[in-house]
Amino acid sequence: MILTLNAGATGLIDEIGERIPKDIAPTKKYGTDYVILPYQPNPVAVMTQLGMDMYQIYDKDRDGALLREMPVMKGIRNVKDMQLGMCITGTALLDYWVAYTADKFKMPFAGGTTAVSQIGYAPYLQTGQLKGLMGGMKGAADYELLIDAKEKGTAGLDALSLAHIMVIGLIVVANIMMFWLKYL
Amino acid sequence: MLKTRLNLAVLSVFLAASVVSAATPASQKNAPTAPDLSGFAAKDMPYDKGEAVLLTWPSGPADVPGAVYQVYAASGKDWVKVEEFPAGTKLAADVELPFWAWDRHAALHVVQLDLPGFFNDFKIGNEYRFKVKYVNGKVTAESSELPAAPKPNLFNLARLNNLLLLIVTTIVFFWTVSHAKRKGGLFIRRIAGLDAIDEAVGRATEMGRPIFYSTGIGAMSGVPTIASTSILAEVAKKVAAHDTQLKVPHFDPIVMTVSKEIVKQAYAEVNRLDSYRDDINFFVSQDQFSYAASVDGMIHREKPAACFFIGHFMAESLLLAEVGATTGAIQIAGTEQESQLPFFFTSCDYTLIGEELYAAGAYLSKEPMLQSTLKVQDFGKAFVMVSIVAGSALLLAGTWFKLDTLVTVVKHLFKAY
Amino acid sequence: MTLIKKHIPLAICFIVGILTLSSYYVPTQASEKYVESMNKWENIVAGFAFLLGLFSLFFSHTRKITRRVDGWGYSLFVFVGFLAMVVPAIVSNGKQMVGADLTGLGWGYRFLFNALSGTMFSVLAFYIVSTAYRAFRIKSLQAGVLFAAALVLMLAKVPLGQMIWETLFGWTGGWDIAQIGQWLMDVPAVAGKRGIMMGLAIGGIVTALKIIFGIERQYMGKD
Repeated sequence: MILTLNAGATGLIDEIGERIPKDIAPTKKYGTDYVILPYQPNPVAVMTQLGMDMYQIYDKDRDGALLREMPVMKGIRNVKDMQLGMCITGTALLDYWVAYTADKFKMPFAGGTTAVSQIGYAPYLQTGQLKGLMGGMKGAADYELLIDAKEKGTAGLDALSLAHIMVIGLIVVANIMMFWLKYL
Repeated sequence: MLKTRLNLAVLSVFLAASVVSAATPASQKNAPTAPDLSGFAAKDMPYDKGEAVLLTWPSGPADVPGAVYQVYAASGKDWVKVEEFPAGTKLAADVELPFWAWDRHAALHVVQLDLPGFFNDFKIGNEYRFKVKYVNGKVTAESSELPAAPKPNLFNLARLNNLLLLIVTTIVFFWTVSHAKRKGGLFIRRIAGLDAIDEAVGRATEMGRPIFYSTGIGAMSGVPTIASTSILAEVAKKVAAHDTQLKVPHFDPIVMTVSKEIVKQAYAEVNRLDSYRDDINFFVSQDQFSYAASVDGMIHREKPAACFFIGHFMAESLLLAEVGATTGAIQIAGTEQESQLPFFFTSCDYTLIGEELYAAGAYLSKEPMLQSTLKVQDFGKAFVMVSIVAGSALLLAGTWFKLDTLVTVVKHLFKAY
Repeated sequence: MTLIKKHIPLAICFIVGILTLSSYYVPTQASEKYVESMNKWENIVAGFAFLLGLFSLFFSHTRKITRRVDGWGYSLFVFVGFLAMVVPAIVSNGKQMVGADLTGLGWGYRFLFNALSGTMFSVLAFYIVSTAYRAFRIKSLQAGVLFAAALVLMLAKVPLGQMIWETLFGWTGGWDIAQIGQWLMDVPAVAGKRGIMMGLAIGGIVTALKIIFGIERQYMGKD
């Protein structure tokens, strides 16, 4: 089940939906192996409802087909019937997923966040409330290495490395200049 | 002589017979035995909303590797196999319930069945039949069929620790509120960011430039946004009193509606309703970077004297704060997102960290009732600190002296179910 | 009037707050249906709130254009941008792709919205460099410790940094930079985060109690 709770991300979901049969997972069939759900506002309402009866909030997919009739949704009524949830976000939505869905309904959950936010989720990782966490481009590259599918994460590491070294260099030079001007 | 030989022969035969009878085959010695399933019980699952049943039966020596239990359920004539698991698993100790709601030491097999997953026509209160079967190669055993009807329960006993903590917190809350009007007022340490609001408003009045106030990208249901609106009320009062220009760009339309009321009320309280304009609060965009781009543009063009960034912020925090810093505005920021605090620290003059945001309403308004509720926060923090120390000490003692019961009790007390 | 403006909203807030709190401890179908209803109502309110925001946006920019205030030209772009996305969305019935082809909405989303969002996000990189300079000036011992921790983390997070560390200090046989960085992330950083989290959680509980019991009434304007 692929869904978004951010109105601006619907296009990204469409792009992913377009790529799945092409190169991401060409053997998977829509409706049998995966389904894409429409955007819903009010994330907390969606997360709470997913733990109770998801068809009260998602009765159709984004194309208007009834969810209950799809083979992929057979035996699924709420998140307790699911094996794993994953949230990939640049916002603080993962906090809400952990609080309102993963921990409340005991659903195994993992996340992918920006490197800046990664440290904020480490307590959840240590207590087992999150089963896994990818942080930033390095996290994405690590995961790509793990599943042996190198893509944008690995490709971007060169630029990331150089940017880090450049920032370190600039900070060191700035500090040297500061000490020079202050003491010499 | 003959009699003696005869006796010896009979004795030998008896001895041989006893040796033969004692030497039973190895397969007969270790032959698997079927368990006694007469203790099988089926009842409503406690502490749930009425969609599950609890099946129990005694565990025993028959639970050997290779053996399995099969659980069957039926609503009509046909039986459905709902579970199959190895005989050594699904014990009472595996159930995730606390010690006050469940006896983990009982020597029982326990199966919790969520019935809607197995019966499309499931209804709460309907009776279903259950039985369990033991299979270990050719050795089988079957329990009798037992009926059970799932019922909703009025109270989730597993959450008793949570409820007790809530009740204690509420009692402390009411106690502090009832003692609100004490002589001398309550001591609250200085929060530099909040003290600087007067300085910021004064600066804007002198320079004749506007003040920008951003409530962040949170929804009205978010506590940081609520705290931000409390601070907005005080800022708006000062702005109204000094007749300075105030602009409040919004990310969320509901926050905008609430803020309009708050600002209007603030102007009314200082008798400056004639200066109030409806477009002080305006909606910009519900997209993070569109909001940041728009506010950055406004800050860049209008060059405010003071910027307030108080509420829930994510990646746009640095964009907003840096642009404000380049215009030379005095900047006061506060957010609950620790990942954004470093950016605010470096770009803003004053930063409110976490709880200082929540204390702001009480700090600025100096209302005794609001100030007294800060005591509840202090009580909560004291409770957490004592719990951490005591809990760690007890766990350490329990592990050191191998007191498993103590360790289990402490872990259950501090867990949310 | 006080009844409508003050007492009824406070009563609604109290009743709904207590009911929602109780639904956590009372696991019946009734409380589940109550929570479901609240979720649906919230969704409906969010939809109408968006319309409200849209009207406010149009009204504010229309006034700027009609009064020819400074920068009124930018206000025209609000309407241009709105029409540029909404008209193709209506024409293509909200779909971004039809088969393998992009619709007008899809084109606008992919090549305008995505590109502009990416640009704004990437501007952060430049601001972070200037922030990093200000943050890591070694003016005191604490600033020095901060700089050292930041340096270790920046090196640990990229393969090039790990190679540099290995080249310079690998001969000592000590800890790998990735291990040091991971320790910094797992121990001191998480400890600080946990402390702030607990304080925020308690503050959140108290604020919620204040709102439920009517002590905090900012949201409805004071009497």
